[in-house]
Amino acid sequence: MPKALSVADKLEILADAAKYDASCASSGGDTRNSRNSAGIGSSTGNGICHSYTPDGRCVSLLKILLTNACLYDCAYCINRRSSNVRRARFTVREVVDLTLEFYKRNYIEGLFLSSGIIRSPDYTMEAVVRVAQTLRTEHAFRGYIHLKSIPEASPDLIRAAGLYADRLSINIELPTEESLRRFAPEKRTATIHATMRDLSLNIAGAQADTRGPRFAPAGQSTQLIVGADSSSDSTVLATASGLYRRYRLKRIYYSAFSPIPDASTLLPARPAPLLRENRLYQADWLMRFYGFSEAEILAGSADGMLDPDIDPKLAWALRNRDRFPVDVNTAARESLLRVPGLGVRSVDRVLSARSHCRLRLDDIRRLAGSFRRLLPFIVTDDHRPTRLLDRAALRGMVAPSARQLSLFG
Amino acid sequence: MMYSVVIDPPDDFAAFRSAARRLLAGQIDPADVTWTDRPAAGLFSDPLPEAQRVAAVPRGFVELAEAVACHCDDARWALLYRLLWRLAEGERTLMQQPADALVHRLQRMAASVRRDQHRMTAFVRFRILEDDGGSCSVAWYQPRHRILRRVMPFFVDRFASLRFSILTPGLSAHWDRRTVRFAPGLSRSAAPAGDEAEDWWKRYYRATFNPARVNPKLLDSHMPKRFRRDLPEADTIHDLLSNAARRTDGMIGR
Repeated sequence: MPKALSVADKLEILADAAKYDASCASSGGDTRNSRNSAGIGSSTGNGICHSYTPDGRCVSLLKILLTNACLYDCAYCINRRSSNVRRARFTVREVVDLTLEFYKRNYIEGLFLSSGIIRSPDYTMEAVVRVAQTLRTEHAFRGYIHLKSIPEASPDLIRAAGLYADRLSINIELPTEESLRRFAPEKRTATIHATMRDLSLNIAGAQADTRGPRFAPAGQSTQLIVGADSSSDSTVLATASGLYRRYRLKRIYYSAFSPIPDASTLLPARPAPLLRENRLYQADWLMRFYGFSEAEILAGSADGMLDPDIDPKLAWALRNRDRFPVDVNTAARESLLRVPGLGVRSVDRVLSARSHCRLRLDDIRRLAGSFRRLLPFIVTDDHRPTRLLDRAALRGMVAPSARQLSLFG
Repeated sequence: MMYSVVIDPPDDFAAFRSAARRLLAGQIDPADVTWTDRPAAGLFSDPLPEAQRVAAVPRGFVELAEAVACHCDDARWALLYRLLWRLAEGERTLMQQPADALVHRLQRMAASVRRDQHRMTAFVRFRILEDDGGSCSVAWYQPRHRILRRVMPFFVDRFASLRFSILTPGLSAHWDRRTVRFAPGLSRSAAPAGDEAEDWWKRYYRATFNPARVNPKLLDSHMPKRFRRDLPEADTIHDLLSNAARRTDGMIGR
């Protein structure tokens, strides 16, 4: 008999097993506190990152699996049936205690619990829900809870999960059905989509009827692995934009495929560049907050890939020079949002400021974050860059140098 | 006429407001006022004018000023009074002009205070002690600005059912499950030296790090070194960074 694992050993194994899920957000929940309560915890709706690991990623939630044993054999997953990693399994009580002890010391905002599938999807989902239920009902825990939903689990269990969790997620993992079939033989795109649709209906229902039962007030999210299959950025963005539209996802996480110990031979031997992940997030932001359609972002690109050297907004502007320069004193909000170097907050500040006075270049310097790069794209009363825009060297003038770029990965 | 105003304690916004009202009532130009934290020998001041009704300040001023009041910059009161003066002189829409140099500077100061508050809610670490009254959580933290009073409601919302204390160099705060009591600041040595949960937390921190994505520059930008001194997990960073390449090579060279 092998020696029984201590809880600390299990923590190490089951945190290591959970870390390939990029999501760690703790935002979007309802506002609550523990005044006049025997329990602990609060949520302001804004997430808090309590620490950062040396990969630069945020630690907001205790992100662990209930067990890393799994019936499935998904090639990209470190916990797949055929992998030889050490296996461990927490009891419900152990996860509850760890969450509370970490939370009391202000290490975390809450719990992100996922699990390998053991015995059956329902058996596993029931155990995951029981952790959340124990935290909420026995301990009056008001911190953040994110639960991974198992697509094949029964609707009753998903409803129970939504009652206790702030956020639910189902990972779609691969951008095409063909890739999913190849890498995750037990998973079906149709089942994943059906469960996402159920979640979105439940979430919308609970928002519309605030007196009815609570259901995941922070919405649902998903994750796409990038670079494990040969899908292009345009395929990834098309999938993402479809998911946002159909199921009103709060977030899509893009996770550059990274090498795992004891990897499947189906996988590429090289990691996907982290820069690719970074560019996809930038494109995702353009779709959600800047009014860009997914088709526009990559229009004119030869291979359906985002330009690694410059961000997608700048790339779009360089391909659409006829739309510039934009007069900051008169342009509509939508046009200002397309100016490289002007973010959503800068645009709002510009709109507020120009209703009181004509803006000059010095004003823009104070209102915008990256002054130098937006100069070729804007007009003020004392600045007109028409000749600059024609110069072929423009790209070299506004694009960051290669050395700076390597900061991103 | 020259006026010196002492605001003590140094984040006492109410004291600033009452002095500013009297100065405005007497139409005292900002150039004739000096603002300090404590009375100094030889500090002379003409008596402040009597308070009178002054025009209401516009929306947004108080919110901005309460944040700026906590800033560690000695110029904070003088800048705020200058803004009030210009508002009273008829620049009624000044608060909506973020491109104005003074408004811009004050907004940046307020943003710096809010960022510091947010960091404090993230980076405070409690250590739990057992004493006669049961268990008590104690944290020592060094904020950049004087933000403890503004941050306490966050921790009370979160840990109302626990007894806890937060100690900073300038001020300490104690919650007894019913009220907050503020007391003078304390040094790091006044806080407990450790907590056994920290070993678990460090194990978690090590395990959740992905060596294949190592990125020390990103780490430094999110969690600058000056914040790490009181984070128990931070002393594992060096080892994680120096072993990352070896661990990743092992995975790729399968």
